[in-house]
Amino acid sequence: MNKGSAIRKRINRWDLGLIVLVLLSALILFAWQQLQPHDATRIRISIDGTESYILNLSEDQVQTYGTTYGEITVEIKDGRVHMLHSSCEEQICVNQGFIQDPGSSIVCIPNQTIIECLGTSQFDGVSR
Amino acid sequence: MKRILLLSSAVLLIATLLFVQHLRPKEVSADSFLMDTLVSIKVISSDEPEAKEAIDAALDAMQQLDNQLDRYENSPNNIIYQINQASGKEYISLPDNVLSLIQTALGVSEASQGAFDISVGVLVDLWKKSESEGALPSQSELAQTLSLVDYHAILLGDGNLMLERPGMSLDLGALAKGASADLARDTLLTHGITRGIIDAGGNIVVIGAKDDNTPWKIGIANPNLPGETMGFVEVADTAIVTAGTYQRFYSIQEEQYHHILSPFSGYPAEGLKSVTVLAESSTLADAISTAALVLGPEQGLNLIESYPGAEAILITDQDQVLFSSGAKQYFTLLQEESFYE
Repeated sequence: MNKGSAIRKRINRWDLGLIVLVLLSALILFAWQQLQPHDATRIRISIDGTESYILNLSEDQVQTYGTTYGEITVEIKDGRVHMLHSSCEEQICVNQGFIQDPGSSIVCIPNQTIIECLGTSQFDGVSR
Repeated sequence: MKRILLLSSAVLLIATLLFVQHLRPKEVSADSFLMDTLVSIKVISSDEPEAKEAIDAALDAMQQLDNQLDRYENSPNNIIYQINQASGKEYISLPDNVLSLIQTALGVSEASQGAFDISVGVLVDLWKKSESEGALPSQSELAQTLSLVDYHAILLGDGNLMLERPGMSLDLGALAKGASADLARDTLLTHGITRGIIDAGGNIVVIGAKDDNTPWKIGIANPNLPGETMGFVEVADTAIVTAGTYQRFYSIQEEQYHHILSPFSGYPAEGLKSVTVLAESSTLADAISTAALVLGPEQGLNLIESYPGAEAILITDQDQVLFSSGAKQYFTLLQEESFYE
């Protein structure tokens, strides 16, 4: 008896079906993980640690939100976002200008607001 | 029978993989609004509850330090407020941690010949008043105020301190975030954390490396476009602190004056847009980045070189990038050549 026929005898078509099923499941799981959106095209605006809004960076828009301490206006233009107006005193958030890279953020302390570009950043942090 | 054996092996394999996945170190993080900024702490640990406990302890410690150093709030633990109230009158007893901070500050004042001075509080107040009144400070106001900015008049006794002249005012804002980040690192280390990153409003401290072979990758803000990065450093066990002229301003008569004030002239410092310092101590990095920014390119670079173990990347008003002698090995520039020297 040669080796090939011995293996064929040990593994029948049910076994083969099971192996194919396991491999297929692994492949589907891998593909699903890879196809998850990397989110460089969306932003999240968190206000007062409670409210949260998701906006699309590909749609130019201006949005105003009330906060516990005042008001903020966010502008999305040409795939980038910035704080157009803020009721805060120091205007650090407005002065920061546009952001677009995944993981980058604009913070307004008085308005307890964080604007984040969603997705995985190429940096672990930014010194500023 | 054979099929059951195969199926059982597959189930066992999957269960083992899931268990191994569970044991793999995970990222645990938390954010908090502290010290007038957003503080983010992220640690890598295989023990999630312990990591959360460590982060909570670090944030608590930072909050307590903030309470001690805030010169505007009158509270029983606020040492700086008490010192300022007692200026020209009496010595105030210092807790060890505040004593150590003030000693570090005075050391940098000496090394920078007064370019860094924590008695700058009265000058900061003058610019805030000018902003609210919409008029630049007059020469006589500046002269009078600068007579109260003098680190030599910070009298350190045996565990206590007095400001020699009435009206003097300490402001530890130029090293408070750095000190706070150091405190968070020490607290995390005490709790057994060996890998993590603390971001105190852009003052960064990294613990260990990201993994066995990868350093942490920290972007450095572009002073011309603060929402973007002009380069990055790759480091482990280091503090990365930037002093920049692009974040906080006094707006007076539709002009913007940046917030890093020269104790020599009383006006915003000139010559540099940003100074990023890498050092073991975040407190020291915070103080010498501010001192270098006040001193300008040449003297600023000399100051950094005088601190063994500290490196710096300086951006001049003309967008030249200057490096201390050992800084280039950590740094990668992302911007176009025109940004470069």
